[in-house]
Amino acid sequence: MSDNHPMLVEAAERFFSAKVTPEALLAFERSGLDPTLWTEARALGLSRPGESVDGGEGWQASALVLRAGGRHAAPLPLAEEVVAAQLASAAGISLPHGAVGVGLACKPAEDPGLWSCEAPFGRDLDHILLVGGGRNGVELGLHACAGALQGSGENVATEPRDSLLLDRHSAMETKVVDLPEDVITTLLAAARTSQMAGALETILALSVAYAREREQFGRKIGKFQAVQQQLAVLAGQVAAAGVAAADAARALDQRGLPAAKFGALEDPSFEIAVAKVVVGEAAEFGPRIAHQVFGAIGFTHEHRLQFFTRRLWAWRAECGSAAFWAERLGGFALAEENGGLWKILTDRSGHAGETMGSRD
Amino acid sequence: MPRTKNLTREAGFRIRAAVLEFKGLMPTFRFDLRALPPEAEALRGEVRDFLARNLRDFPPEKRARTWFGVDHAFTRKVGERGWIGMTWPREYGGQEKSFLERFVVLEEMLAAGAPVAAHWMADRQSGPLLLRFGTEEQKQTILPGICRGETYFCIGMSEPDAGSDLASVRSRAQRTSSGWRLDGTKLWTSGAATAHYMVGLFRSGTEAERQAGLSQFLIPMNTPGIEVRPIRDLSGSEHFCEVHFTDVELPPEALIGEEGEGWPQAMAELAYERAGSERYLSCHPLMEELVRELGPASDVRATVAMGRQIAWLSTMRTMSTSVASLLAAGENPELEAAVVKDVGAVFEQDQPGIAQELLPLPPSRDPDAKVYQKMLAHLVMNAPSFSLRGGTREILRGIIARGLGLR
Repeated sequence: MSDNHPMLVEAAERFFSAKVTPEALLAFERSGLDPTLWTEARALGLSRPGESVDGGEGWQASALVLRAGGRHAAPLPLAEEVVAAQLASAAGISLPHGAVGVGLACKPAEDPGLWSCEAPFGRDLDHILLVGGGRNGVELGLHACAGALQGSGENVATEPRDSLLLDRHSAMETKVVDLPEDVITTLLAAARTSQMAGALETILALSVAYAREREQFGRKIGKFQAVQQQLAVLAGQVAAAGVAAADAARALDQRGLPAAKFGALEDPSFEIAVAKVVVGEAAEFGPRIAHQVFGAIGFTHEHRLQFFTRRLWAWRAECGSAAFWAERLGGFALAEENGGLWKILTDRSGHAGETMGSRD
Repeated sequence: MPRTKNLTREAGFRIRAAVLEFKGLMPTFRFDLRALPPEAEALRGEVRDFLARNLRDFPPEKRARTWFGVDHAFTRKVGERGWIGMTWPREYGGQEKSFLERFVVLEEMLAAGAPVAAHWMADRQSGPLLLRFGTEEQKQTILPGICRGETYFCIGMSEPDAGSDLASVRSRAQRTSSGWRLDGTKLWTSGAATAHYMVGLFRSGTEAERQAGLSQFLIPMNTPGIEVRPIRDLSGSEHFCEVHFTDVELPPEALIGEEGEGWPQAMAELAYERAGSERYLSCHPLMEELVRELGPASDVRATVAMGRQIAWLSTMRTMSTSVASLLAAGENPELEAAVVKDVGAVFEQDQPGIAQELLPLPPSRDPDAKVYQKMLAHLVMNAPSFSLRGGTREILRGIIARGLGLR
């Protein structure tokens, strides 16, 4: 798939390699988002890869950029803007200039005129796209974020996880859509799997490089079979995670936006769920192995391994854990009318090759 | 404490220098997503109709044997249908179908637990080997019989003192005035008791040469001097065998390919052997039975567990399809194939245990037991072999480690 967008991926890799240094990551942990870095990334189009590729591959192009971002632990709200931009574009909402993010778990506040929502990087956003239950069904709304910050928090990777209070009558634009209420959670889950697949690639690369460099008992630790076998297991997890995340993005391009009925052929939520389960499990076992290979030095704040493993631990819990998505998949797998595991998977793969019309 | 901190700093700097170099060291796994082409998908329905007709009277619990189930009549029917050697040239009995069409036929057979063992080795490995290295006469006399489902093969690799360390093979092939003379013992050879031919790895050079002293031979199993002794496995089945060779005389053309090239020739087939759907579908019929037994009213624990199962099954299949596409394009994805087999073996080996966690029905071979219990009994006892056959877990992880640049 990377064959399809080599320029985009190369531009992303070049940018992140040059700019996301260990110093930049430490600075992010101390003082938050670097507005210059964010402006530059946005100016390069990295937060809206869908706009620079031919129609029909927007999610897969986005996934490649997000994976590159994950490989470098890019301390930016890239996934959030990618999701906002792709969703707004599909719904026919035009986005103004400025950084845009997404709101999750949106609900009416105590004051019924206000929405309360969770917002990753909420403090750094100019605008936010969220789903509210309007009188006419599921309604997408675009809001300005100025003065909306209600609470500030962060995940274990020190990424801002804030909450906003928004005036529901002051939306800049709204659209009633035929999409499930949790569409943003599902889409952000897909984006997270790409970031995680990238972070997993890097912890493998770092661990292999260290095993080839570090000497104990008179030889490189990578020469010990016990270490080799562990790194081979890590490689298997990384490969599986990469495939699952890429398949989720392909499903979004081929099947369209999440549908009301989980597991329907035109619903990509099935592949997104598969990815969040597989990548989530890889995020359990992968960091364990990487930290074991590095020993105490990898457990220090100073070493860069932790920028990746802490993100993996944070992201695996966000937008639904592996268990959350496994429960949906399992419910679908056990429903008699779906005909069992093999029928479900072959029906889906048989349908994937066909071009499916956009449902927006 | 300051002293510790300084040490950490120093080590940190060294590591950072190493980290800057990691790019370029890493191999990239080539797991690009590929969809099965429409002509391959079109075959799926045909295979299902065929299986529904021909497995109507097949005992359901026997489906748990999957690609170790032998049924000569079934194999001949698959041959009649043109699904053995289906990618081979028509002049040798094949159908000239694509590798991905074959992929669909095989995964449907395995998912249904069809008894494909009789023709499995010949279709997967020996036929392609002969197509590549066999003489014209061998191709014309042997391949059509494989395609009809009448000629079976076994692969003679392991020996009493050469298991995972295959390069220490001792069985000898000596040149004679009339061809070759074979002596020695092959062990754990699956299907040797029913096979018509063996492709055997023998030492034609010295032991000091290790891999370079090995050659492959095409051996009719009815040649005088060959004695086959089936070995009963712990579950009571007899599929693998000990094969003794005493002064077995073969003609010159029994040598496959080049003398001393037996190792690379055998290794070239391994990607076909390791990345196929048999590496994650060994327990599949049990898991379908488990879905039926659990039913839609399952508790959260069972629902979550089955969700994990379908997630990994889906991902294994996507990975395997990807490797199949590389093979179809003429590449040799040895590393990717080792990854599929290693991750797949863990996946399928876990399944009998997961099933027992979810359903309070013990494994049983009692005739009155449920189909699920009989399948479970077979698989509980056979699961240890999943990470032994076709390259042990340790060998595969060694291959992956080499691919990572560690060896």
